[in-house]
Amino acid sequence: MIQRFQAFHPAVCFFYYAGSVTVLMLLQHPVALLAALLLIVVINAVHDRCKGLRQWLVMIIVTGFFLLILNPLFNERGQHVLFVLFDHRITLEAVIKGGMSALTIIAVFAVFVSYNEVMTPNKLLYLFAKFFPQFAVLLMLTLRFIPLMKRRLADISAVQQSKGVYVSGGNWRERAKNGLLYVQVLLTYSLEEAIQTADSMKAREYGSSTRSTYEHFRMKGIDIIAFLLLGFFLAVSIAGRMQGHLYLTVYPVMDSLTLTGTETVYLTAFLIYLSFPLLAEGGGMIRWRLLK
Amino acid sequence: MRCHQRMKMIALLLMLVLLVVLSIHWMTHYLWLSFGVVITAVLVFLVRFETKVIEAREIVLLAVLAAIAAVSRIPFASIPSVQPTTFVIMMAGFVFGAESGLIVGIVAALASNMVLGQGPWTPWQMLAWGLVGLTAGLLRKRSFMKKTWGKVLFALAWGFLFGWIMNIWGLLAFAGADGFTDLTIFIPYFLGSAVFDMMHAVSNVFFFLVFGGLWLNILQRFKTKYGLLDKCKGDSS
Repeated sequence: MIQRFQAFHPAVCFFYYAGSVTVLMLLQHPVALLAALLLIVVINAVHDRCKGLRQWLVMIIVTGFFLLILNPLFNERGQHVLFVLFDHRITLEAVIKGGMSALTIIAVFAVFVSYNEVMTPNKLLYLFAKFFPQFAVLLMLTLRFIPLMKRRLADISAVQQSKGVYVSGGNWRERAKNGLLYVQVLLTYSLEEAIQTADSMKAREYGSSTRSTYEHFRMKGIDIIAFLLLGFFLAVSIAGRMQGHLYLTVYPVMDSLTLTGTETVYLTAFLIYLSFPLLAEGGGMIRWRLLK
Repeated sequence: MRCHQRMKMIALLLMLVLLVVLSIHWMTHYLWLSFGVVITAVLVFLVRFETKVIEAREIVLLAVLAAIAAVSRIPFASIPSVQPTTFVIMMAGFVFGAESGLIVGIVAALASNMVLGQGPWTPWQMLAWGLVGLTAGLLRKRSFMKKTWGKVLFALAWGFLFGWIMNIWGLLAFAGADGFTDLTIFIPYFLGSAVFDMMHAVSNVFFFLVFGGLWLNILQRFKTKYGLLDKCKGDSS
């Protein structure tokens, strides 16, 4: 568990994930992408021993593989021909470009796996409620209705099945028709209930004045320090990318794959940014030891 | 409070203009900037939603519609790419107007992904389903939309449009940081998704033909009975 990182203010966590995805999408260098991907996998491993990542594994591999092979298949440009397949030139450039696309998407997926673990819906809702209170109420109501409707749908399907209306059997036409019939029963059922819910909200003075809210998360000194640190390293990484570093020119002539000195500096800045959850965890552990 | 929202609105609109100007300046990065425009556009609609005074009954109704749209994916889990979410959002747009349709679409996408797991696709789904509701509300007064064939065409078109909008985020991964070098690469990509888009489109039409009239009646009856979301009627036509 990355408990230290989870304890930060939601805005810090959100900033971290938004920044990581942005830089990952901007980077265009196999070495940098590979290093970033490894780091993200380590974060996932520390977090939940890659449990979340394993659930998405099939989708991640399929998408990555698809991106990796599609580019060489439809792109013949490049000077280094690896081999010729049915009169089609497979070039090193195309393979590297496809590989970079695949690495980017895999890394972004892996970041989202970690995001779903750390940014629980209540944290996102908290951030929303700051800026869009009315929308947050709507979202909260919807989130509350989803499990309720699932239960109602189960009730409905039990009743309908006793009448011989199934979604599990029959041809597609029948299944689709019966499926939407369930949803229609759910609609009429829920619409009437909605009026009751609304009246009860009204009875408790909904919308009569602005309200104070319970602040579950507080911005502490350490959150501000985290913000500054993250902001600094993110700015350095983006500035490096703006100057054309960490960008592998593939066409017309491919650059060397090795990183130059300045590129290593910028890559280190980005890797420090990415490893923030690990650093926070490590720092917390050291402090714990010292205090003990 | 009002003033506050207006400031936000102005800031967001300025950002939109800035993004468009930037995209002229940096032609090669148009995909990234279009992503920025998508997010800003969604934020603009949310700020607009904040400025409206909405009754308790109306906000609960919107939440019920969004929750039904999100939950209705469950009985269809066994059939690939067939889900009535688009149909439900379309019905909401037809009966309750453009803005309600848009909000139902956005909330349905966001809330269902909060349950199923967020991913890079979330903003695109919010945009695609939001636009389904918005266009349904905007076009409902047109003469061709009063007829069945108009609505069938609309449902069919959105099956494909939805797929194309969703393809854009895949394109972002393809393109990497520097635009496209070769546009032909997208032909197989779009052809590959066409099978699923076709299923989506056909199921939309099927749902509409079998249930459309009934659903419109149910929602319309509910709307007149309780006089809900009536003010949307004026500004959507």
